[in-house]
Amino acid sequence: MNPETNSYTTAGGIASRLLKSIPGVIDYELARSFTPARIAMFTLMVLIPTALMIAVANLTPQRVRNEQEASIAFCLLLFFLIPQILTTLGMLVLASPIVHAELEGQSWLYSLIRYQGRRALLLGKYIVAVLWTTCAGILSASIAIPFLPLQDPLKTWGTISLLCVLSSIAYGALFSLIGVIFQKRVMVIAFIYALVAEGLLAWIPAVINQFTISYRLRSILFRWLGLSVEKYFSSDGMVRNGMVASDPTGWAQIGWVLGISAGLLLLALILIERIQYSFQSEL
Amino acid sequence: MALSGSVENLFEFRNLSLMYGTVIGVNDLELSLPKGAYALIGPNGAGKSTLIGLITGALRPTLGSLQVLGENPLATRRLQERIGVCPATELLVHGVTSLQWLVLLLRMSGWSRMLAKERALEVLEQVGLQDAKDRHIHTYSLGMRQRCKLAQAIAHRPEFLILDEPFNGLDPVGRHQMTELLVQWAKAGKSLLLASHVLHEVEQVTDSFMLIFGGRLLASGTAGELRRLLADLPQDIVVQSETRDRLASLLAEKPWIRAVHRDSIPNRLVLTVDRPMELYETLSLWVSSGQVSIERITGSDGDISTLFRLLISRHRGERAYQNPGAHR
Repeated sequence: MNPETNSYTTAGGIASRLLKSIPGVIDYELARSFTPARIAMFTLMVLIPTALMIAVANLTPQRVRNEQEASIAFCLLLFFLIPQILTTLGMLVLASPIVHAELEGQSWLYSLIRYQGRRALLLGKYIVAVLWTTCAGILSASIAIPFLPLQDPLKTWGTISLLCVLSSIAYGALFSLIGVIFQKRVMVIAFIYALVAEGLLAWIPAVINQFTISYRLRSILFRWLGLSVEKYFSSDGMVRNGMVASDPTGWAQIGWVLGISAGLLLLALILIERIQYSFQSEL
Repeated sequence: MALSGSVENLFEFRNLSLMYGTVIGVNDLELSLPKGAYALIGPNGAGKSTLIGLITGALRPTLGSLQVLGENPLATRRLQERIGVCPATELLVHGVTSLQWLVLLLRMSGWSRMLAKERALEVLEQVGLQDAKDRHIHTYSLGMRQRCKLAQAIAHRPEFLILDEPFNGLDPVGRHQMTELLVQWAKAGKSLLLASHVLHEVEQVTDSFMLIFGGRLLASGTAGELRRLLADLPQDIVVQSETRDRLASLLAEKPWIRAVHRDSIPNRLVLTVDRPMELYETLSLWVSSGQVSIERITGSDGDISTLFRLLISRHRGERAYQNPGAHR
């Protein structure tokens, strides 16, 4: 038995032991992350959006490169390719199979029979997925931005980097929850959800889009880069009520994203303790 | 075997059942056992792993309830600290060494990095993997992976060790080492549940058995108790007698004789007997009165495998429990 503590029942004791367990999972997951396959995936995650943006920048006629509209268009392209596509796909691949990978590798039972095994596994893997994806996003933005015709590259880099972090945190929590709920075809389910909710519903100018992560991230982008929603999206006035991006301050939006992420993670933590997974072929 | 509760039993099952849809995993188990070493014997698919899943809290019973070491495994996770489990499933961990893996599992139990590493090294030495501690687990032989699984089960110093088919994949030396380790564990007064379908291996570790088949507990008890049970069950008995024909005709009249078979070997009879104890008493009377002579009686050897075969046959509703070819 653990010689360091015998505190099982108090909330403080449980939390303290969980906090001790999580770094163990992070260490372990990072140690086994540096495989050729994972490094190749990371490289592709970084290089594909970077190459696309640089290619588009090179194809942009010189006469429009210095105009403000070009700068804004590249800001939107950065946002679309990095905090939206790269981090979403990265978290889809890394966070959604949190439980499924353990079940398939027949290692789930070993976590199951540890005092804080399930919770530590979920949170540890989630943190590692956020670290990998955030690093890929920020690195991609860092490589691409010097080649793009931006009016304020430093501010754009800061905003995109922050959005990468927020996007990874939020999509990671969302896909972790999906991964906890579904045991089979979890990546397909997560992909369909991302496509329908975050890709489609988020752009529908109705109240429903305000419940999507994409909408909140977009609002932060517009607010922090001082973009006018009406100017770029309102051909028919539909954005007046904040249907493409909302009015509250960037900090309020950050609070919303972090709050919803915490809620999703909490739900995942509750469910992972309660769901009975089939972990042995003969069961 | 004690069936009544003590201050803190190893486990108590109350009408414990688990269904996988329409398939029965465990069927209405009612049992209470004090702390000690037990073997859970049953063929593949008998419900051993399901029962272990229930004991560890990995599975939720459909009906009934259970307590392990005085606690409900579903209600409290602190029980995990007191239990070590070595599952039957293959260890398929990739890209990590056994040391890294053990440190992870200990840290999941709340151990600090330093203590976890110290303990992991200690336990790897205990199972004989100290020289391979920095090798990736997926490069291990089957026997090494089995020992690695055992190491994680005992690493956090549990008081109750559960092993599901621990001898799978072990060579004779490995089997001997595993047996020695388990014998020492039991001798140290710690509790043990050893699930296996290989009888002679578990007999070396403990003489308390639970026989399970089709999710039902067929019998439980010590080897002696089970042998007494065996004596009351129909079984084959081989008798060597120079008065074979006379003996056969006498036996054929007895109601508890199910079949008498003249063997191809001279002077040998194979009997299928409903109540073996009555046969032994009757034979001793006939021998002392000089009616027959008997050179040798070879009954069921009293081993658990015979009992198990009998119980399964009875459970399946087979008429001839032992020797389908036997006939009168």
